[in-house]
Amino acid sequence: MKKPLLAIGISLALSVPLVAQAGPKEDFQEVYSKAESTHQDAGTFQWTITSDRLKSAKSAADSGDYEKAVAMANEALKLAEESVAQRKQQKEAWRQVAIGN
Amino acid sequence: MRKGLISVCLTTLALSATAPVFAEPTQADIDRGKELAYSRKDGNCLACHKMDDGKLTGNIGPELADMKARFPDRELLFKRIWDETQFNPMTVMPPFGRHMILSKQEINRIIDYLYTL
Amino acid sequence: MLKAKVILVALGAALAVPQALAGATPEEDRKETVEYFKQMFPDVPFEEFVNGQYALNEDRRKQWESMQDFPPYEFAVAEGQEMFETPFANGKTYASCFENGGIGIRQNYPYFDTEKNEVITLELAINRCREANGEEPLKWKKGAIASISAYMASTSQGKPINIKVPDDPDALAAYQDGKEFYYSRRGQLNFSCASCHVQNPGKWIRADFLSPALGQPANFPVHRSKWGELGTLHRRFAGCNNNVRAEPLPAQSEEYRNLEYFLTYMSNGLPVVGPATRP
Ligand code: HEC
Ligand code: HEC
Repeated sequence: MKKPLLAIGISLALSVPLVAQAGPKEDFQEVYSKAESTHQDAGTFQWTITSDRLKSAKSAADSGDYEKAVAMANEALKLAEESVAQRKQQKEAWRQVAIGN
Repeated sequence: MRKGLISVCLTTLALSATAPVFAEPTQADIDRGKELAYSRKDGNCLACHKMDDGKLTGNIGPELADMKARFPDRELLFKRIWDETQFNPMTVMPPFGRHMILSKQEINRIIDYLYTL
Repeated sequence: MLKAKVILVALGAALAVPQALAGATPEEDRKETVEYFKQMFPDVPFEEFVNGQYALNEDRRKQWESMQDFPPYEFAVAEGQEMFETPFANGKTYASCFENGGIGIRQNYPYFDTEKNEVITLELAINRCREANGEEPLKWKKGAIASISAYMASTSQGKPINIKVPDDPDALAAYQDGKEFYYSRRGQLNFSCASCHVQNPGKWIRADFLSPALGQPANFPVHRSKWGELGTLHRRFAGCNNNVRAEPLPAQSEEYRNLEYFLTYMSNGLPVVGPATRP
C-alpha cells in the first residue's frame, strides 16, 4: 500500500513517466491473478463471460494497454465473485424446485 | 483496499439507484432503452416477454404493457429488474443488475423505454 | 424450502411441484417426476414424451413428420454400422466388448459400474472398447462416435429404458450428484436445467419451444438442423450450459456422466427412439 503511493508521489513530483509506468503493470498483475483464482474457486459454476474478460485483460496487457487490462481484470474479478456466490448459494438453494426433495 | 471501498460504494449506489429525482428521459434515452431491451446480448427481454412491436417473443413471463399504471413506483421496478429473485426465489428471470448483465444506467434506460409502453 | 414452494403456488408461476419427503429414493423421484409432467400435460400419453417438443406442439409436429420419410441421419447410421462391424487391427470388433454383441442394448446405458465406481455411458464404453483393442479413442461429441452410437441406438428402437441405481452408496452418490447438477442454477443468466425443462416446458423462449425433462435422452444421438449433423447428448448439455453463459464441462466428464445418469433414470420405461431429428 505504502510503496505504490510513494512511487506515485515521487513520479508526480518529479514527473518521471518511467516510474509511473511501473504502477499499472503491477496493479494489473495483482488484480488479474486474484480474478483468475476467484474464477477457479467457482469450480463447475464458472461463467463464460468471466473467461472472456480474463482473455481480453490478458491480450490488452500483452499489447501494453494496462489501463484497459486493469479495467477488464477488475470486471472479471467482480463476475468471478458473483459466480462463487452463486456456487455457495446453490449448495442449498437447488432444492427449491427439485422434484423429490 | 481503496478499490474494495469503491466497489462497496458502487454497490450501495446501485441499490439505491433511483433515489434521486429523474429528469424526463430524452427520445435518445428511450431509443437506447428499447435497443437494450431487444438486443440478445443485453436485456433480451423478448426471450420471455411479449412487448411493443417485438417479433418472435417468448411467453415465459407476462406481457410488458401499461407499465406506468402498473408500476408507478420506479424504484420498485428498478429493483425487480435488478434482481427478481429477491421477490420470487423461484423466478427464472435473470438478476440483470446483481449478475452484471446490465449496468445501473442500462437498467434505467430500459425503464425509460418501459414507461412508454 | 417449503415456503418457497408455497410462494410458487401462490404466484401461479408454474404448476405446484409435488411435495416430497427429504431423502427420496431415485424411484420415488422418478414417479413424482412422471406425475408432475402428467399433471402439466394431461393430454399427452406417457410414451409421447420421447418426442420432446413435438409431443407438445402440433405445428412443429407436422413439420417434423413431413421430414420422416427421408431422415437426414440415415447415411450416418449406415456408416456407423459399417464401422461397428469392421474389425480392429487385432481382428476383434466392437461386438466383443458388449453384452449381446452390442445389439439392442442402448436402453441399459448409462449404468453404474460398481467395480470402477463410475457411470459408464454408451460413448464411454465405445471408446474404452477401442482402447482395450489398441485403437485411438474417437472425439466425443460428433462424427464417428455419434454414428456408431446412432447405429447401436437404432438396433434398440422401442426397447424401454432400463437404468438401474444399484444398492450401493457410490451409485446413489453419482445419481444425487446428477440430480443436484440438474437443479442448480448456473451461469451469468442464472438458470438451472430445471428452469427451462421442468418449470417451463411447453413455453416459448424467444423462437425456441421448450421440451420437458421427461423423455429427453431417449432420442439421442440426435441430428439437429442447426448442427447439420449428428451430435451426442453431452454436446447438447454443453450447448444448453453455454446458452446461459455457464462454462460447459468436457464431454464425458464425471459431472456430465452423472447428469446423464440422473436424467436417463427419470425416463425409465420410455422407449428408445434414437437417432432422431430436432431443429
Ligand atoms: C428468462 C425469462 C425472462 C427474461 C429474459 C426476462 N424476464 Fe421479466 N419476468 C420473467 C418472469 C417469469 C416473470 C414473472 C414474475 C416472476 O417470475 O417472478 C417476469 C416478470 C417481469 C416483470 C413484472 C411484470 C408484471 O407484470 O408483473 C417485469 C417488469 C419484467 N419481468 C421485466 C423484464 C425486463 C425489463 C427484462 C429484460 C431486461 C426481462 N424482464 C427479462 C421472465 C423473464
Ligand atoms: C434457457 C433455457 C434452457 C436451459 C437452462 C437448458 N436448456 Fe436444454 N434446451 C433448451 C432449448 C431451447 C432446447 C431445444 C428445444 C427443446 O427441445 O427443448 C433444449 C434442448 C435440450 C435437450 C434436447 C431435447 C430433445 O428433445 O432432443 C436436452 C437433452 C437438454 N436440453 C438438456 C438440458 C440440460 C441437461 C440442461 C442443464 C445443463 C439444460 N438443457 C438447460 C433450453 C434450455
